[in-house]
Amino acid sequence: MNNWRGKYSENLLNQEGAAILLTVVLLLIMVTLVTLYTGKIQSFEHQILLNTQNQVRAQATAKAALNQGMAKLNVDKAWLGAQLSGSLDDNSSFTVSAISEDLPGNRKLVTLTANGESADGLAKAKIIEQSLVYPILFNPPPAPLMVQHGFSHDSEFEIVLNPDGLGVSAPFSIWSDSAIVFSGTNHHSCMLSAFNEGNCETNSYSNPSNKLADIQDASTSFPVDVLSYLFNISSVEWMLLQQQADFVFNDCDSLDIGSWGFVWIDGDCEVSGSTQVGSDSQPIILVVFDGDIEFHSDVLMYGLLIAYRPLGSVKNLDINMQSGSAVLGAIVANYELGTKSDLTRVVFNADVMHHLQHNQKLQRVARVPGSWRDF
Amino acid sequence: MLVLRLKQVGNSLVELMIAMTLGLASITAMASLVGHGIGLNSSLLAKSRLDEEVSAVVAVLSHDLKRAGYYAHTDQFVKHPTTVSNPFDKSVKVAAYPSEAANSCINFAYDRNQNGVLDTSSSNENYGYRLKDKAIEIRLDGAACDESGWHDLTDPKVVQVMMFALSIEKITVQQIIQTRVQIDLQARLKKHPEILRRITTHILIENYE
Repeated sequence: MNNWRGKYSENLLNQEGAAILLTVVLLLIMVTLVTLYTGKIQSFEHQILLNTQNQVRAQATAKAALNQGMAKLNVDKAWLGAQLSGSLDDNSSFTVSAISEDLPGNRKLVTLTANGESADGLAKAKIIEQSLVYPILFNPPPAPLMVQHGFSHDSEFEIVLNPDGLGVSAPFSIWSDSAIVFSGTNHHSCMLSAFNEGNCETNSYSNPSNKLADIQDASTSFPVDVLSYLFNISSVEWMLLQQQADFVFNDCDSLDIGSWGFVWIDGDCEVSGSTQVGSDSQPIILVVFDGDIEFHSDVLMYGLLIAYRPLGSVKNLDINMQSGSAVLGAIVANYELGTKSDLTRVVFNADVMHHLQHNQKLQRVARVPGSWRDF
Repeated sequence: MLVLRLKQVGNSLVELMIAMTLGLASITAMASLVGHGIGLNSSLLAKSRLDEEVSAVVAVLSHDLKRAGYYAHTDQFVKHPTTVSNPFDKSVKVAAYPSEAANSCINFAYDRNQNGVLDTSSSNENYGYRLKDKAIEIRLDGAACDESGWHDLTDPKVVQVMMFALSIEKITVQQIIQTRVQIDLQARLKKHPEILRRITTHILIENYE
């Protein structure tokens, strides 16, 4: 009897709190499962966010690489396309390389390939785009003097001809849409050798008594729009051309031997005596917009001088060169020259004309519309 | 007569009542906490779902749209500018499905298979997105904005797109005119209409459309 009673009371003691313990354990399991589930979802969300962020960073890095490639091409237009690599502040890395294809007209089509990679290497992006490297001077003038509306017979001109301007061994001196009257001894063209010997006038090629084929006046093939002919930019869009200029000045005071690139002058251009502008290897393109041009004595300008009078201007403009001054290269004017000047002298220089198209400072880089892709 | 006298073990009724009250209170508190956690998680999931849906639509659209105007044969275009033209040029157009708000449909084209031709039959290269019946739809087989044959990109049973407004802007950067498209998208969850998400973003057309 005592034994049975003892066992009964022992059982009662052993069962104390079992239901509560079970409930609490179940609740704890539920809480743990919910916490784990929430954590898993949060982790999943975080991974999605991270992937999205990585992809955005990789794309941004590829875009930065493409811009770096463009910048490289802008400063080094002869870049052969060797791969460049680097990293950004967020430790994402990039590479950019280029492949070039030479095109007619001294142009070059460059295909840039830019790759970007996120810092953890999980996301990658690739962008391909083409750029065109082109000379500002689309069509170099074939004649040393290209003048619209002719040349007044009241003033002088001395032209050193382009020996191959109209074909092999077919000299070209003046190209104009209007008739040019030769008078006296002040209108003549000559070979470079004669000019160098100081005999341009006495040993001339064309002169008033013998006007040869190097003078192409009253030419029907003369371009109606000289800006369009030279730069492939219509004269009504001259502002687009001005925007390509390296320098825009109001006068020519700062021009000297160190001048380079494409220079745009708004207004009159007066160059003081004994000044050299540009050089044989680094000629300039000088546009004088709606202004008179005056070279004092012994001024030598290497490059292309463009005397441009805009539509609507009523100014009487001219080019005047004093003794010993000349343009070594070519002159283009869209108005009649010689109306109030003494002398226009231009010496064709093949080296200068070559550099006008090949000098890197006279070339530009443009993105090719329609060539961008990221797939 | 046998009288069984057991020793009285256990708690009194008062103790039992107090224990039960405390136990019930703690269980209720824990259950409430768990319930709140589940509810919060559910709400969070719903918001995330909406966020992801909206972000995914904008991501897909922007990836696609910025390619507009791509032409694989630009080298020919550069070599022969007078005889070769880009058939994908100026393809970005904004319109709308008749019963939807204005400017809620955008069409564009690009040379996805890089064959230099604007394909209009198989692998049609006319792409687009539009709003119709509270869903964003993707263009298939070059169907026009007012035609059927588009495919749902979002599920209107889950996410309802309330607004999808597109506008084309011209911007000038360093004397170059570029086109960008402003997208204004607003959506809500069908089950929780109070949960709204709105994204306004600009997408630059990289090919100078």
